Amino acid sequence: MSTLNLTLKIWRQRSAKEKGSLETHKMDNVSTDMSFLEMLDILNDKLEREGKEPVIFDHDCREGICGMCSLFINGKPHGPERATTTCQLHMRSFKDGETITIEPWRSSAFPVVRDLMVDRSAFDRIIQAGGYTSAKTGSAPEANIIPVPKENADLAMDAATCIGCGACVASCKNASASLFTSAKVSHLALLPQGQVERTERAINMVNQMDEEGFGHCTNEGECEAACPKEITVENIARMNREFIKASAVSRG
Amino acid sequence: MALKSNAPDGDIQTAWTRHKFHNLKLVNPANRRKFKIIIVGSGLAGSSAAASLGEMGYNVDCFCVQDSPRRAHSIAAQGGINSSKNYPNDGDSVYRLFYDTVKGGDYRSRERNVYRLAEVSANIIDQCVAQGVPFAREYSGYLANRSFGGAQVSRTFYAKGQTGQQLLLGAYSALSRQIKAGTVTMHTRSEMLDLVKVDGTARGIITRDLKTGKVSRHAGDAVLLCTGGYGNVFYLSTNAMNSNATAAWRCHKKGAFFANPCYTQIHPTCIPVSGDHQSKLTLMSESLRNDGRVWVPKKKGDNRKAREIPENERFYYLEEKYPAFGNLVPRDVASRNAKNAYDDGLGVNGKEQVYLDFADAIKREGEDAIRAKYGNLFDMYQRITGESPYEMPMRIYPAVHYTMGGLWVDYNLQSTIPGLFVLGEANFSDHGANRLGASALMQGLADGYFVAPYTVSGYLGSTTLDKVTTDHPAFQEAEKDVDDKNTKLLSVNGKKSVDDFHRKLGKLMWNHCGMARNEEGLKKLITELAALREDFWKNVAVVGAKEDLNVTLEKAGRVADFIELGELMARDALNRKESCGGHFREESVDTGEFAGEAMRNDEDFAYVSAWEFQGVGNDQTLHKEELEFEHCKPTKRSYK
Amino acid sequence: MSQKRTFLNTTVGKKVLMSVTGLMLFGFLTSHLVGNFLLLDAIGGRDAFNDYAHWLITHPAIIPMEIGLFAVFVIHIVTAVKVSLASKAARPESYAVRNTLGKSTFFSRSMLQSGSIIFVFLVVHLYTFKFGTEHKVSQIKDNVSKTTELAVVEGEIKVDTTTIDTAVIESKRDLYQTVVENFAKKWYSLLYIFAMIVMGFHLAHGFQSSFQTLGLNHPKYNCCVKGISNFLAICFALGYSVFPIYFGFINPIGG
Repeated sequence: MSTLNLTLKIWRQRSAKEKGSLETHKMDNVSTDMSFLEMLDILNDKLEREGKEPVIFDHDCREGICGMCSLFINGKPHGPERATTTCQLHMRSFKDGETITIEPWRSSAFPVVRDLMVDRSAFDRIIQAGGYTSAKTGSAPEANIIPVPKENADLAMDAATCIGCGACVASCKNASASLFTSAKVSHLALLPQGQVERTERAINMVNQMDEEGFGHCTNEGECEAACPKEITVENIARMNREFIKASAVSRG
Repeated sequence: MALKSNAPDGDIQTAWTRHKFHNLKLVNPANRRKFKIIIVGSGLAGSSAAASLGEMGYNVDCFCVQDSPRRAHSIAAQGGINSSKNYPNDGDSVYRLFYDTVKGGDYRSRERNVYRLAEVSANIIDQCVAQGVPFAREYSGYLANRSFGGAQVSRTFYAKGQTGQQLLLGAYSALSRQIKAGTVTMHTRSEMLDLVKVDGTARGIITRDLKTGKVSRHAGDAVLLCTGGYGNVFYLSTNAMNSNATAAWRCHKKGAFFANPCYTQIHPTCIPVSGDHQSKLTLMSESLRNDGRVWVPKKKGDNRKAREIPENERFYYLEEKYPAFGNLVPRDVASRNAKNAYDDGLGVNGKEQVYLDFADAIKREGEDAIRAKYGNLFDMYQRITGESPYEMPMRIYPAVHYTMGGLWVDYNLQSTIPGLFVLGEANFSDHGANRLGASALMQGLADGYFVAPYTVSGYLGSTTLDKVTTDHPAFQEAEKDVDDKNTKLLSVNGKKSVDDFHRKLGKLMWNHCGMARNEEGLKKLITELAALREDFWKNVAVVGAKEDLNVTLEKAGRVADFIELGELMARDALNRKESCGGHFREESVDTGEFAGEAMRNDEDFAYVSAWEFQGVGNDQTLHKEELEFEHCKPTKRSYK
Repeated sequence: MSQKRTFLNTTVGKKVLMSVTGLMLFGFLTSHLVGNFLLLDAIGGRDAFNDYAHWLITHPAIIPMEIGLFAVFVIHIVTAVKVSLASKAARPESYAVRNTLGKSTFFSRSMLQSGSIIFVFLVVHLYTFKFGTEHKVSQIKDNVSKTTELAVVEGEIKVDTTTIDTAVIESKRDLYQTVVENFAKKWYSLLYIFAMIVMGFHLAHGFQSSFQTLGLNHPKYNCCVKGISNFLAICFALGYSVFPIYFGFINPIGG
């Protein structure tokens, strides 16, 4: 184990309405075994002891699955490591003497709540628009009645693995939510259970995504590289296919 | 107060069906929208209950502390979900799943609840598949199964190592549909801080909006608590950072009995603590023990690198002590033996950790085969520790994982407060003293999809409830209590941070009420916790304002409750002078054939301990629910 | 949710529009390039090129085609502007530090800039060629379809007196001359080449991107689409640069 001396530049912002700015903090003797969030815990512990307000950031499971942590670290969502959420990022990925800039996800659809915490309820509303099958509790048939080709089941799983963290939006030049939305559209489009509502789902989810104010997808693929679960842009193509087809045949 | 389980008598196989018909009244579909149901928590139990009740036409309000219901900690469950489908044709049945679960729980659960759980387990899989949960499949296109600890059949359904995530997203999507339909109103970033009782019945809750600090009142006809377990009493656990016991504890203080608080499950394969900065523990799937060999150096203070220690100087303690099961002994046995090893000074590098070595497996099957099986787990380990398990053995450590105890509930999942239902890990009901792998997900969804919708309707259909609004004095009083408590926390102005207290609490609990407990340690613990509580209220530093986003205040409230709950856990552990499941009393060990192994005492302790609150720091009153075993005759658990 | 958006008012719809118009423009570029090769002596030369140009200009379908092409250009450009404005609105406050993650390319990141340069080029191009100096060439077309070409020298027409009675004199534009004159200016040729390289950049991302937008993505063919996209980008940039190189540097006959 070794230690690092770091300079942190952290975005502080009281609310979406007020202007924010970067605040500098020196951190000495940071263990390389610490996780990035543990390093922020220590900073906050120090701030609290000094009677100052801690830096606000979202976090919960700290094992890379709940999707609550965010943070735009040195110009990259979830920091420098691939397929790693901020909570699983460890300080050994940084160098002694380094300056680390920490910003919130920036998107008009993700307004800042405080400091590094943003409101991602737009994602929930996209799911509410159609990210489900309308199977009522108790109405389901025997599970093995419809076989699903393994390849489709696996592809559906790959899409369904999305944790809804928003790194795709954060990384996108256009702040587009296409990767998120397409992951859910794809997941259900690939399964027989998702066929019945396929048309309305594609239309409603894309519409809601647009209502929330996310940008267009210009097929750069940064989202794919930013995604901690390595969801591919193949899903975006599938969503577009679904949407084009749905728009062509929908009577609504 | 006599505790009645309200489970139907007679044939166990038809009990739930008969109960639904004879004992649970229905509510006319047109009348359902007149009832407001409050659901706290949005994990598997909460989301599935909210979705199902919303679908039925009830007016549901659902609360969660996260920014989205999809983030509840059910999402982190890796392994799978059990169901008695018997797809692999290996002799499984509802009865066998029931039997395995009761036995796995070391004969400390209520038979009829467990039977119902096994019975509805098949419906859960059907429901999830219909929702589009992408379970693993065979090339035939049919669902795949794998085996899990404590069972001789393959009954576990899984979605990669992210089964909890997929099941929760399934329930979340059903919930989302109801939110869209307007039957469920979702309140995110809201924490329940008190239960409101009117005429002895649960009629509402007080919440604090975590974004603004605003405290508000919510009235309803029934309250469903789906808030998970209390593993974070130990500070370090595999629970999420925001997992807490506050909602359950405040209900307990309002009169709901707390059952079996001492039953905690310690998972043997977690990544060890790397320093004082550690904030939580990460689990490595139990499946690793299929190929990994557990060992420690034979010599104390042997600081050589693992690969430099020759074979004859390694102590493969599980293989030596349990030749039949070897490295695959159940979680509690594996954890306890790791503790014994490092207590004897044999821990790796003198720390509380042991090796889990894949060198033999890699030699036998090749690195590629091992990578195919465990690649993602090895990557995760390397991400966290910076060490490659392909090159050196993993270091592992036992950590608190699940709490079998919780609020006492009857067969209807109703607590001792009428109208307060408790679902999922938050209740005590189905796992006895030890939970089998892949059973937590099953229970959460069983409660939410298939039990609570009937029993809550039964309650609403058979109870006459007066109209209560949030202007009722009981709401004013509860809100004032919440406000006073927050004011008090902010006015201490001490010098120690909330985490200082939480860390200290965790250490005390881990040392005296962790993997092994004894009378002396527990008594000492009770005294020390009382002192800690006093110190907390004198010296805690809580900055910020009440009516504002304030994470320190949130944490402080939770830690204050954890300290009180810790005291109850210690008292329960002290009372239970036997070793069963996750509760190991050093005084209660076998002296005969299985020398040194845990020894249950069915004669004196075949009961549920349900504790009634009597004021902070006071002895609580113990109520016993005697357990009867008509179908599963208690036997000795042995893995030699 | 408020009322459903029409297809073209959704983000996907707009991108589909970009991609379809982009592919149409790509088609136009292809035919334009093929026609241009008639400029080269080895393939066509002055007569062939002017004939081709004349045939094109006088074709009855040219007006509707030009209107269509103009509309496609306008739609492509207006939609691009809308998309860019929407991106700006989607992230009003930019990051203090931002790094690429390695998936985007210089080409993909600079679509707006390359598009703008192409637009400026387009204006100049139309100004200097389509609406540029009108040189005339006249031909005698006799009733037995024997065509004799006459040189135009300072407005005087030299006529073959033996056939004058039956000849019909037809005057048409000498676009070849316009090309030659424009490319004779070295700075103009250099600018043209620069614009063509930028167009290559635009195509390198645009071509493959249009497939992705239309949902045509399959792991089996993705490499192929990317390869073709890059190949075409190079072909078009080089192909169009042949003319300024030829007339500007190798064979500057205009002056």
